[in-house]
Amino acid sequence: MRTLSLTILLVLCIYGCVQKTYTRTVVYKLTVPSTDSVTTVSIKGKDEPLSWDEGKPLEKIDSNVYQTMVTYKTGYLFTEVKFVVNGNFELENQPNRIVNFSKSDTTFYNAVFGVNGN
Amino acid sequence: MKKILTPILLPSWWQDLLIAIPRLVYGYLLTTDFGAAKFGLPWSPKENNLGLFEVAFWFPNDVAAYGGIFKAFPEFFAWMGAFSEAVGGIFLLLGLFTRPFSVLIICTMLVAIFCQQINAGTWNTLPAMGIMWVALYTAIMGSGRFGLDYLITKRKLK
Repeated sequence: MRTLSLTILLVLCIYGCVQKTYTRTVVYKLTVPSTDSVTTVSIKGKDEPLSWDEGKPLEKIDSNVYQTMVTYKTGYLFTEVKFVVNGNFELENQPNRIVNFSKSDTTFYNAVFGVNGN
Repeated sequence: MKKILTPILLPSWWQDLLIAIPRLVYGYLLTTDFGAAKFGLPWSPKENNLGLFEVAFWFPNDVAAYGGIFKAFPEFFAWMGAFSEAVGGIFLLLGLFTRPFSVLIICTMLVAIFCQQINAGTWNTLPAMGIMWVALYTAIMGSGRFGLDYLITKRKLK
């Protein structure tokens, strides 16, 4: 009986000890220097639903401005991303962009291709 | 208990010192790097947002993907695996309860080798295998002279 109680207590402790997740939406807005001829724009990142293998396309909302929205289910306070234009990664051999989630549901992240302002 | 703690000593102190080096290095790496990234300890990276003794949110999903019993109890196995790395690393470093924690680390590394890394090729199994080999000899030898197990059992013997 004692062993059973201890086992149940241990299992409850362990189930309660998984990091809590929350939903965070990030609106990514990317400005691509107008001198470039742009065919495809996408974003890749560390955390699901993004990945480093496959890019999520950005939609054109202005002459050289592109946007997409990504919803993460995460326990972290930040994520890492990079933009890809015409199949070419930005910031090669440089650190990824760090996107800190705001405490509200939605984070707005504005970036210029190839310029890491973090 | 004393039997479990009492280390096997080598003939000279310098032999114990040399053989303690891998234990100290891997204990340190397990608790400060591999384990701390997915298990909440005071020195876990702040941006990982882990509470004390919390396992990272993504780890149970990874563990569930191994299938079988891991799929049935992913939180339990994720917590145990992360605990054995992060806390087991501290105990390995200190040479305290060296044998029980070595066994726990061996189990975790076997899972890492055969459920996680083997599909990515043998080369990728080497880090987990390296830790497992070190834990294998500490499971047999105990802490040696350079660990708390030795100090505890030495004092009790007097």
